[in-house]
Amino acid sequence: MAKGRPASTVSAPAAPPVLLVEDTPSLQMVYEAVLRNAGQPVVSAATGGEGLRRFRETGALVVLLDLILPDRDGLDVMAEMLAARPETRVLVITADGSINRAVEAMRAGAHDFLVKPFDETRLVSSVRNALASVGDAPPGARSAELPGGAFQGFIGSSPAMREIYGRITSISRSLATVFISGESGTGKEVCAQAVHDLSNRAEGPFVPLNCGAIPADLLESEVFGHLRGAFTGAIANKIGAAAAADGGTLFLDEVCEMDLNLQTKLLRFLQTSTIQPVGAATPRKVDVRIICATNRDPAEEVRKGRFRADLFYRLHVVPIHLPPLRIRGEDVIEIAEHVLGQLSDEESKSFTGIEDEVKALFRRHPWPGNVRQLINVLRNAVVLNEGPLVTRAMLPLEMLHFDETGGGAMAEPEPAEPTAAVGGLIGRPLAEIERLVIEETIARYGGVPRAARVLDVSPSTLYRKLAAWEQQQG
Amino acid sequence: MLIGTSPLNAPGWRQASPSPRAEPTLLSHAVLDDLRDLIGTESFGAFLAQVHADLCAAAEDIARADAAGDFAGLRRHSHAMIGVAGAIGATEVEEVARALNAAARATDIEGTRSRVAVLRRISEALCDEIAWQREGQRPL
Repeated sequence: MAKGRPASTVSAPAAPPVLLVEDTPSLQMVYEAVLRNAGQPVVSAATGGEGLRRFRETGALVVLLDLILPDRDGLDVMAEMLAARPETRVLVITADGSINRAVEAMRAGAHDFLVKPFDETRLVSSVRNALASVGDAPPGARSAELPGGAFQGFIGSSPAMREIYGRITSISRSLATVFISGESGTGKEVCAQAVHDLSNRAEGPFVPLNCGAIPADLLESEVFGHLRGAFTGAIANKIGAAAAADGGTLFLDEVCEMDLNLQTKLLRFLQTSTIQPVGAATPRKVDVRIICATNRDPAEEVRKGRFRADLFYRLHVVPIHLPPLRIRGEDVIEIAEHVLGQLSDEESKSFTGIEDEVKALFRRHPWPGNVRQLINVLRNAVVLNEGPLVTRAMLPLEMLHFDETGGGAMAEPEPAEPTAAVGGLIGRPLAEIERLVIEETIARYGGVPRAARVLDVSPSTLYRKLAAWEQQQG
Repeated sequence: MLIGTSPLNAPGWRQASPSPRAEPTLLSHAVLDDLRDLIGTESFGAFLAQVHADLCAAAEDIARADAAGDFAGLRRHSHAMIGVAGAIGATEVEEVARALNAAARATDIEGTRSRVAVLRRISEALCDEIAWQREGQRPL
C-alpha cells in the first residue's frame, strides 16, 4: 500500500467504528493503520464468524470485508449483514481478479469493490463515500431510468440495454475501475459519463481523453502533464488529464492504443495514485476514478503482447460490454424517432416521423457504425429535406444499395456478397480482420482521410496502425 | 532462507543505512518507505515480521495444496499471497500469484504446476529479502 499525503479525516470521532474483516494479519495491520491515520475508529476480525459477532456487538454501518475467509464465503457473510441491517455499507475487498466475482458482489448489494492491492487514497476515499451515503436509499434502490427507455443519455428499452442500465446504476456508487468495450458508435463515452453522473463524484470533473487521437510522444504529457522547459516546445506548465480529474473521473478512451511505455506509467499511477508531470522532481497524489474503453478485444490485445497483462487486470475490474445496434431490436426505431425530433428542432424542419418502409430497412440494416451511423443518416436526411416523414428516397445511396443487394459494400464500388465476405473472415484473428478491413477501405476510398471518415476514426489512428504494420514487416 | 533473529517487536528501531545491497530486488523500497511512514517506525519491525510470517505461511500452504491437487486451496492461499505481496510492492511475486490464482480458478493442472514452481522460487527469495530488511533494523 502506497502512502503519500496524510489521509484526510473520514468521519467524526463519534461515528461507529468501521468493521474490518480480513484474515491476513499483515494486511489487517496496514488497513487499520490507514483508517486510524484518517481518524476513523476501526475494529477487526479475522474470520467470517468473528466478523458477524463484532458486527452485532459494534453496530458498525461500514464494513470492509475480504471475500475469501477461512471459515465462510465473504458473500454469505455480506448477505447476513445486509439482512440484519440493510443500511450497512459493505466494501468488498479481494485479490481475486475474477470479474464475475466483482459483478456478483455488486449485484448482491456491496457498496464498493476494492481489488488488492489498493492504495491509501482509494481505501480512505471508499470509506468516506460509504460513511457519507449511510442514511441514503439502500444499495440498488436508486435507478436513473426514465420513462420511454431513456437512461442518462441512452435511448432504448431492449433487454440488453436494460441490463446495461442496471449495471451502470449498481456500479456507479463504487470507485471500482470500469472497463467499457463495444464496437465504434455504441455509446462508450455516454456510458462513462453516465457512470460518473450517477456516482458520488458527479460534482467533480469528468475528463475524457482519447488515447488513440493523440500521438504517442505527446500522450504522456496529456495524461500526466509537464513543467515548462521539460522538453523542446514545453513553453508553459501543463496540467495533465489525471490531475485535471482529481476528485472526479478520468475516462481513457481507446486505451488499447496506448503504447507499452506509457502503459507502464499508467500502471504505476494506478498502483500509487500519484502522478509525476514530465520534468517534475516529485510526485503528487491524486484521487481519481478510472473508466476506460476500447473497441478492441482487450484480452486478445493481452495475448498478442500489445497490452500489459498486469494493467489489464488492474483496469478490467467491472466490465461493461455495450451491444451493437443490430442486436438491440426496436431500440433502433426508438433512437431514430428521438434523434429525428432533436434534429428537426435544431434545423427548424417539420419532420414528424419515419415511413414504415424506412423503419423496416432500419431494422434489418447491420449498422456497422452503430448509433453514430444512424444519427449521421438521419442528420443527412433532415438537412437535405423538409419532411414531414423520412422516406426511403432520403436515405444515402450506399445504404439503399446495401439493402437491395442483400448486403455487401456499405458504400461503393463493386457489389459484394457480405455473407461470403464475412465467411472468409471467420476463424481469423481480430487484429488480422482489422488490418484487412482498414487496408481494403483505404484502397476503395482512395486514401487515409476518406477511409478514416468511413471507418469513423481519426486519420492519425490509421496512420499509426499503418506505421506499426510496416514496422512489424521490418 | 534467512530468518531474522532480532527482537523486532521492541520499540526504537530504524532502518540500517546505507543499504549494502545493490542488486535488483523483489521488494519496492519506495513502498516500504511509505509503509514505514504509515505504520510508524516503532511498529514497522513487527509489521515486517508479520509480513514475513504471512508470506512464508502462504508459500507453505500453496506447496501443500499443490501436492494434494487442491485447487480451492491453491486459490485461497494464492489470494493471500497476492494481497501481501501487492501491499509491499513485490509486483513480480504478486503477478505470479495472480496467474496461479487464475489457473486454479480454471482448474488448469499444467498452469498451476508451472506457476507453483516459479512462485516457490521467487517467494523464497522474497522471504529472504524481508528477513534481510528485518535484520537491517537496528536499535537506536
